[in-house]
Amino acid sequence: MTQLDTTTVPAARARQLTKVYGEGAAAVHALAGVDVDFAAGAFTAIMGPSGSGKSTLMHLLAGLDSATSGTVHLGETELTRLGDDALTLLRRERIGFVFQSFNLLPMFTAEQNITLPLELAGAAPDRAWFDTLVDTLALRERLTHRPGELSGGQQQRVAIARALIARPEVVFADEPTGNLDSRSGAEVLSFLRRSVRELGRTVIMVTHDPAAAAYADRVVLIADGRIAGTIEDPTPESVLAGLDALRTLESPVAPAVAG
Amino acid sequence: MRGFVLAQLRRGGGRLVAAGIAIALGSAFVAAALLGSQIVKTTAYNAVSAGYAKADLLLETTQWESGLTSDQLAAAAAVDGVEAVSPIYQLSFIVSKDAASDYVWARSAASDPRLESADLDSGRLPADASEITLGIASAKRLGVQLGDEVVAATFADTGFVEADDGLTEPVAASYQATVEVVGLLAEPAGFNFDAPTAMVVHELALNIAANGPVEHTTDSSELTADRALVLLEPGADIHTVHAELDAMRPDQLFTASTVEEVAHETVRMFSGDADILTAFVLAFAGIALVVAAIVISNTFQVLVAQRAQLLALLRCVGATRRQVRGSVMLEASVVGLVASAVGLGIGILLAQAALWIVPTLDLAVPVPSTVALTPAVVVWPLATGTLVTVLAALAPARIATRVAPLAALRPIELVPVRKIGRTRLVLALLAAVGGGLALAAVTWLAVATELSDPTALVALGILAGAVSFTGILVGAVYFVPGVARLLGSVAARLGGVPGKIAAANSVRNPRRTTATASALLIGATLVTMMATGAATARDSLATLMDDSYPVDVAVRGAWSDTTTPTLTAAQQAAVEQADGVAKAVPVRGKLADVTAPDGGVWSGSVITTAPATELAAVMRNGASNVPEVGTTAAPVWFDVEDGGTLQLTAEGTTIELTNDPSAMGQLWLAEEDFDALPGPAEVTAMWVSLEPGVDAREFTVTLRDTFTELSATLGDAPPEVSGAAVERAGYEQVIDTLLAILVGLLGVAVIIALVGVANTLSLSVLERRRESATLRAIGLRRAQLREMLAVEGVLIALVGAVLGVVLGLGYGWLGSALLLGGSGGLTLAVPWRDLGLILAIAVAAGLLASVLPSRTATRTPPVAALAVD
Ligand SMILES: Nc1ncnc2c1ncn2[C@@H]1O[C@H](COP(=O)(O)OP(=O)(O)O)[C@@H](O)[C@H]1O
Ligand SMILES: [Mg+2]
Repeated sequence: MTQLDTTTVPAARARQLTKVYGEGAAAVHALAGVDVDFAAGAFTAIMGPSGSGKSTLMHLLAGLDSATSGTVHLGETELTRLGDDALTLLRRERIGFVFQSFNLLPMFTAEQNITLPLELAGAAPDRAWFDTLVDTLALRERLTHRPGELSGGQQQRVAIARALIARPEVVFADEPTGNLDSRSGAEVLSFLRRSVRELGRTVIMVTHDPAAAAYADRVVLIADGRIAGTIEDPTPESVLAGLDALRTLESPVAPAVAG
Repeated sequence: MRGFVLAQLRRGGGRLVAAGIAIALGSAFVAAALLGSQIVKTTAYNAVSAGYAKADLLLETTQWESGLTSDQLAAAAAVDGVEAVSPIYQLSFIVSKDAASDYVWARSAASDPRLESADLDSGRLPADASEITLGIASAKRLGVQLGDEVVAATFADTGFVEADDGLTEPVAASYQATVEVVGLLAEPAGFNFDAPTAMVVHELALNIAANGPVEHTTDSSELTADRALVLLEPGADIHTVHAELDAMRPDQLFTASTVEEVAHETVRMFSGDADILTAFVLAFAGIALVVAAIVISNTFQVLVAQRAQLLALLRCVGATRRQVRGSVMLEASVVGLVASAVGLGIGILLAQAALWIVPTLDLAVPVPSTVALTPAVVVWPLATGTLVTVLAALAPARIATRVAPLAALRPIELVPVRKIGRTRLVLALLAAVGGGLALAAVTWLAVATELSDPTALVALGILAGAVSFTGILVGAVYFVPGVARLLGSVAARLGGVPGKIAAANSVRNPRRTTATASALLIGATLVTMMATGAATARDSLATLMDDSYPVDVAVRGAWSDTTTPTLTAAQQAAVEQADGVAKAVPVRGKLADVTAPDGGVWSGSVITTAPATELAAVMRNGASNVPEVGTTAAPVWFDVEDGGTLQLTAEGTTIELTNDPSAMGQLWLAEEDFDALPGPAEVTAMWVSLEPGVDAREFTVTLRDTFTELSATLGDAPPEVSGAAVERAGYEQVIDTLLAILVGLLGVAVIIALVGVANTLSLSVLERRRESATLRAIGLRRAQLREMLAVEGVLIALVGAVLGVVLGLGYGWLGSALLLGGSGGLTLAVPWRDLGLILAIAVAAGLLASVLPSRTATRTPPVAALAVD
């Protein structure tokens, strides 16, 4: 159902992944057997109606939460076998995060926020890479400011720089434009796309906004905890159409919609 | 609004737990202090009134020579409504059994059994002059049991007479009777200082008194009673009888009072002290409550800040400022009342636990079996606890009213932080600097004028000190964050990323950090002040001691009134070989008759000497006051003026010496003079200097043990061990005990402050939930998160402790100079060990305070970082 990249190992991969919240009658099957691959060096959007399991899938892919059953691989590493400390180390070294609410540390400057993951890893900052990020994200003038002195869009750009500074294998972004006006949102999305196209990163983004999803190389549709299809080279229109198809079909298994 | 408050309490009640604990500890302290004082009084009252059996009234003579006369007693007995009058006859005599003897304070049995207060342990009261009932302690000392015979004796004269063989022996008893022990009196209860240690019938008492020393008898050799117990007929009105007895004494020959009056009066006499003690303990409870107030105020400020959006929302939908303030005040009242009630309960339990424990300690104190809950005991802790809580919430409530309705529409982070006002700085500076200068001035006055009674200056000094400390506390917000930043930079350098984040976090809310650290600062300052005062007193007294006790340890031969006190060869060897002895100089002594200028002869006086060169090595003052040849210092009771001539005679040879009171010792002679007198010289003492670092207390104890062993094997009387070291051990113990009590009393305030540290951390952790989760998501390990909070806890605690130690040293020095400066020999000391301990406790407490908040923080899943409010 999903297209497997036969030449390289996918950046992230889920197999028969399930996640159940609660027990007994109150149990919610947030993910009901998900098989999906995310190609390295690509910008993928996960889309679906509210409550369909997008965030849950991302949490599991990013090693933030434990699966009920099934497996998750980040590159060659199986996350579902790792303990808390190993997962923490993995997140520190191989994963970057961009949050809807930015989540910068208010007592640190933009620069300190950006380099925090390196400090956590005890790694020396790569000045050239830092400069590249700062220039690409147009943050040069803002490095000494604290988050309280930055606009939402600027804060999110700092967050993107923080997510990329350790050159992670995958950057996860959960509704990165949810708290931004449309202009700042567009800016942030272009930066995410540039970081994939020009800086060679892998980005997996959760969004419910078709316009945001259109920035991605590929859209994975999810409904009722199952993969409902994919859209290659999406446009806002094709994404909307895909979503509409989900709604009208009301079916857990929807056919792949071509872009 | 009430519904809102209740909902808040139900939802966020957990956030108020620490504040509640703080106030509960404070009011428990108040309750325990009040109950303790009440128990002391009740106990004293019980003990005193137990001595009066069932008596209703007490007659007391005003004529100490004659006592209550039989006429007076008969007249009192004749008053309408009086059933019985029993005079209390008391006297002391000696009871002996074989070689053992004991002085007893005896009373003759009451004339009416209902007025007999004797508390029998076993047996019965004496029935005739051949019987005695002995106090259980006396019986134990004499080694007698029920049924044994003992001798009751009295002496008209005391002292010794010279017997035929030239030795002295005690004078013979002027009266003695063999009596059988028919009963034992229970150990008298504490506070009952008048309790008899023996009971005899009146006849025997009369016989003994008639032959005893004069002071116990009148001219007619009659036993007199100072007091008499009066029993009323059933139904008689005590006031009428009292009035009639009063009317009988226009001549003021005796006074009548009710037993209750007497007991109350006696209790008042002790409890004057008890009340001072209670006030003293309550002062410490007050300090604890002030610290609790800081913790509470801090908690409410944080809560108001955390609820800013909610409060704004309330304002948006129409709540008035008054209602918002009212909601905070209502919440504070509820918390204050509940916590105070819990505190009262804890206080009552503590007091009751003490009442359960005391009787098992065999102290013979008639404590009540349960605490008595008077209105005062219940109301004060509740009222102070609630009031302190409400007062502490005033400022936060005012802040709550400043939340603009508009804030509801802004994210929390953007709600503006209140700027710190300028007036505060001015007031704080005025109080801190003004009070400090005043304290310094008062101290300088006390030291310069050397007043013998500096009470007024001390009171002024305490006031000035309190004002300056208040100023420092009010102004703490200006310097505590700076110190926190300074310590934080160290932590950031040493503690890696967790240290760096902790350092940044600890100065994020300057007010919060300041309040938390201040609460601890109060305790740390006071404890340091006490420790510094104690150390200074210790060192200063040591300086004074060095002057009055020139050697570390002096070992003197056992006293004898016929020969020179002598250290045997074995004892000398024991001193020389004792561990820790740097040098031991033997002091030689012999006997001489000394004739004072007024012709008085002091025969058999011990004169002493030692080589001056040797003395220099053991004396702290370098033996600067060894008498010159031809001089000596006469004991003060010889009453010889400076420069007067003393004649010393031994075996027919006489030398003349000039009195030099500045010379060391009494009848200490230069070696030349000593050797000029004939007669056998003995080693009468040894002067010892200890090696540096030797614990004088331990040395003395060990040496005494050695002597005791020697005595057991060789039969030599053990010598006396004294000297600066021994004296120091004595007063150091007093100082240490006082310090322990003060620190114990301050302990409650310190514990409350530590609860405050934990509280601040917990509240911050709740507030930073998302941040913690973000850090975890981007790679902070659980252990690092814990470490981060531990560093933050330690930082806050250390800021309070470090500042407290610095301030406490200052106040301690000024205070000791104020108290001891007048007496000269002031040596300012730094109690390094105690300071180290305070800082170590602060570190440990900071770590401990972070345990619970850490658990909350690490339980936050990293996923929470992605949550949207
Ligand atoms: N912590 C949780 N406890 C219980 N149910 C949850 C929890 N998180 C998510 N769910 C449920 O799981 C389903 C999927 O949620 P989520 O992954 O957040 O969906 P989406 O991000 O697509 O809106 C929803 O029904 C949601 O209510
Ligand atoms: Mg979601």
